[in-house]
Parts: sequence; C-alpha cells; structure tokens
Amino acid sequence: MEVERLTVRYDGRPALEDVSFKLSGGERLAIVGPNGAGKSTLLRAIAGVLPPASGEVRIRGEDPCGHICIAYLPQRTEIDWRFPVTAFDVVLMGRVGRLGLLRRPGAHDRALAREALEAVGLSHLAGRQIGELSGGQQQRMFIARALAQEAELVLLDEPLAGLDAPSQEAILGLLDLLQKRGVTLLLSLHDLDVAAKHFPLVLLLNRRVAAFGPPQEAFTPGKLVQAFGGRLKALPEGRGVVVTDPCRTQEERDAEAG
Amino acid sequence: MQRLVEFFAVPLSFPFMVRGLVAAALVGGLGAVMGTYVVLRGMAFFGDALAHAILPGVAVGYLATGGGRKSLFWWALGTAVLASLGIGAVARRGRLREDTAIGIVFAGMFALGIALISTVRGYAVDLAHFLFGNVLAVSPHDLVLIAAFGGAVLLVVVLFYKEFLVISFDPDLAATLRLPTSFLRHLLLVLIAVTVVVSLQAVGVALTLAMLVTPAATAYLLVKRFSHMMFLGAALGALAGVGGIYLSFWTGIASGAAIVLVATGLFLAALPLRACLRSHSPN
Repeated sequence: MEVERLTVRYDGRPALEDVSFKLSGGERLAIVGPNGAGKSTLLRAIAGVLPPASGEVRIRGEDPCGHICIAYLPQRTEIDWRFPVTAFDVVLMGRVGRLGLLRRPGAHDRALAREALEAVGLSHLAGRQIGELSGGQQQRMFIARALAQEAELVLLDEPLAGLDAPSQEAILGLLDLLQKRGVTLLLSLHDLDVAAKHFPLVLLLNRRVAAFGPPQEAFTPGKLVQAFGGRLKALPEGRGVVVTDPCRTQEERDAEAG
Repeated sequence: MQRLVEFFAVPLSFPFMVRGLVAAALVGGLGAVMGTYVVLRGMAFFGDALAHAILPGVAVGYLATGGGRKSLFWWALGTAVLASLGIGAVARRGRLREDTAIGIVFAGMFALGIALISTVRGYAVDLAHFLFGNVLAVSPHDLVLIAAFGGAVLLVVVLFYKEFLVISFDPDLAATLRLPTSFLRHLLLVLIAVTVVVSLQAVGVALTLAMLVTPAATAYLLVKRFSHMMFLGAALGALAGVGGIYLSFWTGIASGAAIVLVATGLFLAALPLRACLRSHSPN
C-alpha cells in the first residue's frame, strides 16, 4: 500500500498534511504521535472512510474504496457497548460485505465467524452481550471480526488503550497471528515503548510525518520533539533521553534542520 | 369469569372497536420495529420533530379538500418523506448543532400547520384530531392503508436487516464493507417517516413519539439481542395498542392517550424486572 501526499481536512482545518509513506504486504507499522496528531484520521483515510482533500491512498495500486479486504477496528470508546448484540453477532457482521444485498449469512459465514472467535480465544463468550465483555475481550472480538472479514489489511485505532498488561500481551500475540496469515497491520499507539519493542517500522506523526522507519532511526530525540513538542516527558527505556525543557528542544529542532 | 369474558367481548360487538383494535395493534407493532432503530441510533428527537413537521402538509390537504379527511394520509405521507430527507441536508450542512437545526425547522413547520388549520372556522375539533389521533374513527379504507404501508415497511426491514444493523452499530464498518451507507441511512429515514404517518391516525402528532420509543425501549431493557428487541418490542407495542383501546372503552378516556399510558405502564413494569434479570445473569 502507498500513501502519497495525503491531506485530510476536518471542518476546514487540516488534520493531516502532506503525509507520504509506503508499506509492503505483510508488514506491520505503528503510528505514534500525541493526541490530536491525526492518527485516527490517517487510519480512517486509509480505510476509505474519510475522503482525502488532496493526495491519495493506493492499495495494490487502487483506491481503498474499491476494496472490501480492509478492516478498520475503531477505538473502543467509539462504540456503544450497550447495543443489543452478542460477540458472535458482531463477528458475523464482518461477513456482510461479502454477502451482498438481500442475502442472509449462511452456514459458511457462521462457521467462519465461529472459527474467528476460536482463534482469538472467545468461543466460550460468543453468546455474551458485548457490554459484558472486558476491554481486552472486546478488542479481541474486533480482531475476530477482521478475521471473519478475511481482511488483508487491518487498521487498529489504539487497540491497547485502557488495557492492563496481560490483555495487551494477548492482543500483541494476536497481531503476530494475523501477520503469520499474511495480513498487513497498521495501528496507532501512544506508547513509544511498545512501538519500539514490537514493531519493525514506526511512523512518527504530528499532522505531518516527523519520521518513518525502524524505531531506532525514527525515535531520535530531535524527531520525537518535533512530533511531541514540549509535552514530551518520557522516552523509550534504555534510551536515556528525557526532554523537559521546551527551549532546548527548539535548539535541537534548529540543529536538526541545519 | 362471566365478567372477564364480557370485559373482552363487549367491545368486539362494535365494528368501529374491532377496526380500532386492529389498527392500534398494527401501529403499536410497527412503531416498535422502527422504534428499535430510533432508540438505538438516538433518533427520538428526530422522530418527534418529524411527526410535528407533518402538520402543515396535513393542513394544506385539509384546506384543499375543504375539511375532508380522505386524502389526508397522502398529504401526510408526502410531507413526511420530504421532511425526513430534508433533515439530512439541514443537519449536515448548517453551522448549528444538528438538534438545534431540527428544533428550529420543525417547530416552525408545526406552527405553520396550526396557523393554516386555524384559518378554517370551527377548526378546534379537527385540530385535536390531528394532534391526538382518534383510532376509533379509523375507516375500513384507513385500515387498508395502515396495513399496506405497515407491511411495506416491514418488508424493507426484512430485506435490509443486516445492512441496517451494521450502519446502526458501527457506521465505519459499514463504510469499510463498502455498503451504500448514504442510501441506507436515507432509506431508514423514509421508513421512519412512513411509520410516523401510519401512527398519526392512532395517536396523533403529539404522541407518535411514544409509539416509536416506549415499547422499543421497554424491550431494550429486557433482552440482549437486536432481533429479540424488535420482536419483543413489537409484541409490547401491539399489546399497548390493544390494552389502550380497552382502557379507553371502559373508562372513556381518549384512545391515543390510553394507548400511550399503557405503553408507559409496561415500561415502568419492566424496570424492576430488569433488575431481577440482572441479578440472575452470570455476571
């Protein structure tokens, strides 16, 4: 997939400006940046949910709107968890795009949904109303939905937000499983540590691309400050760089530019 | 026992009562089916506003036919479909919040409707009829229209069941599945509009909201699957319709109000029942 000079506007203001990067099939990328950096916007534009103001997204050389193999997993806060559906119902929704209008899910679709729930370890909770699941289970349910959708590109918006460490581990394990199946993964994260540890490629975003590449190249003090500004407090473990003084960061930025 | 049989049988000896019962049950059931979407999508205000916005259309029909009632259904239907589609445009483009825009447009249309009707001498009775409905005045012709349009709405819901479920639960998923989301959203609005028109005869402009919201919300408290909510809601809506007609017959209170009061009573009864269900669930 390829993103080229993508600009997206929200209420007339640019939420993303001039974003370009490329990703090959089966790779995984973490998008990191502060709140309001446009991480969700970027994922939604790649999914073909938000129209770009300029630039383009190409997936296998085509517009994303032509693909039904892209799964977008929303942030958990975007969903009404009191909605009267079970985990199985939600996973089965992943099949709707393949069915076409006027057709009901058949035995094959149900079998795929059951397999997907099995793969994420939620078979025993298939009949639970979604609000009765824990945060980690809810996220796994969405991953199962992406599996049922037979997605080749899966976009996850903050899949680890608000989860405890064991749940995060479980999700990261499932991401490995997806990748083994040849799925390309893009997710937004706010934890630099997790990004550095689990992702061979990161994109540092603050409306524009601050850096794109392996974490050890992208997560340099200068680039991090460029993305996070003066708000930056902690850096990945073992790097030993903590930026606390916004004035100095400005100097660093100048040094970086010069 | 004798009295119980009389309680149910006596009203059935009047043809207008039988028609009223059938109409109220149909309207109650249909209202809850569409009400499932209204409740889950947070469209209660839209439904209420739509019902009020129909009034000027009805008024024009009323004036055009010199106070006649035969063609009012079609005037109401035309206005409702236009208003429901118009709202999409108003809501999305304006600078105001969506609910504010809806409030301004529909309160204005409601006032226009009252103004138009008030130009007719002795309008009060007819205005009350529009505002509060009169299900006991349903003609055989009205009943055919209610059944036909109600049936058409249900057919469309069956055909687009899974698509409507997806756009209601997760619009972004609908977009990535490449469903025709804009078409589906507008279709849903039109179906709600038709439902409102069908309900008008029974409960009138002022209380149509209750048929959309109350039985569906009652079902929402008690079940945890979408289809169950629809079925239980429809059953409760039909029960409220029938119960309301009986209440109206034996106590002499207005039929529309009686239907809504029964629906509200069912809702209140469901609250403790929900607490009971909760304490017995595995969590």
